[in-house]
Amino acid sequence: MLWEDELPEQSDYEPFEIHRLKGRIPVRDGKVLIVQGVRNVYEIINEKTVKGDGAVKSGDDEAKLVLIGRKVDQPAFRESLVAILASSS
Amino acid sequence: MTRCPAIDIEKQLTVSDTNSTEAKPIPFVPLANGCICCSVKDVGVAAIENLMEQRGKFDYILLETTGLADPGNIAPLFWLDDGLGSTIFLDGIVTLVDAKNVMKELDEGFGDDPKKTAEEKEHDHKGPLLTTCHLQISHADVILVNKADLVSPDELSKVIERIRSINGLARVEVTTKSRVSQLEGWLLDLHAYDQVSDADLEFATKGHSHLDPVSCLSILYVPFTSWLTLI
Repeated sequence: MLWEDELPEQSDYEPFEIHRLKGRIPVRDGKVLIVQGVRNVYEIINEKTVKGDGAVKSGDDEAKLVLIGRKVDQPAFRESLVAILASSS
Repeated sequence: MTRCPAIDIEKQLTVSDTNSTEAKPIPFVPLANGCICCSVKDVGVAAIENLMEQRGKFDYILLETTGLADPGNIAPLFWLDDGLGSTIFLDGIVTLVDAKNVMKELDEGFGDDPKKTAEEKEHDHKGPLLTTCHLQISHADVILVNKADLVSPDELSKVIERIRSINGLARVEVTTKSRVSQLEGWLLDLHAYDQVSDADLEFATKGHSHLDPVSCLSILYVPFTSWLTLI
């Protein structure tokens, strides 16, 4: 989606541009992935945790993504993104 | 490190196929300094790195662009892959907004190249105009709403609301005469391409623009269950 400006499994949508992307995605082994992106360049890194800080933080089990761009608020875009998140969890 | 002028030492070769009598040149891409890293990096980035090698490392580099720059074209050049072993990294993008004129810039493309504005209008005639101002706001990590002394409090709050609806991730500070309360966190040491906290994203869930072609989408998803919330 980010590299090719296409929405998988969606046939009817308007052209979109992603300008900026930030996200936190918890994954199965307790780690959290951090997503950073600008235009079609993006990076996924592991969240750095402070040593000894085992406290559960709020939002630990929720994946949050914020995208800024052109036509990112169209329904097809939301549906496509959520479908990808659902299929990969 | 040995310094050599960047010349291509490989000559173009021709190869003949055993099955034919033709000799064709192999297509090849000349690499700057014979190094793929030097070719992949932007000329500007390489120039900065060379300068630091000669003059010693800088603590910080502030790149001031023209008023018409599209940060989306520039940011990817400076956000380098770790594998390239660069000494520089992209800390963040700061956009200075003129509180007095920003609405005109967003609505009409005031200040933009008129030809570019006309092209944009043709490209998407049903929607609102995408201007350089939109791009500079959408890509920003910090937005300074300047000349606050030239607008009323009501106008100022409308400006801030409009800006936040385009970019809900950026930190916004109101300034007069471009003065910030402190450099760290506002102009320097932004770490905008570094770690992302839950708090960073929480704030961005408010607001969404209907007036602008650029907007924010927030997705909250709880894995391992079938419940989804779309904000």
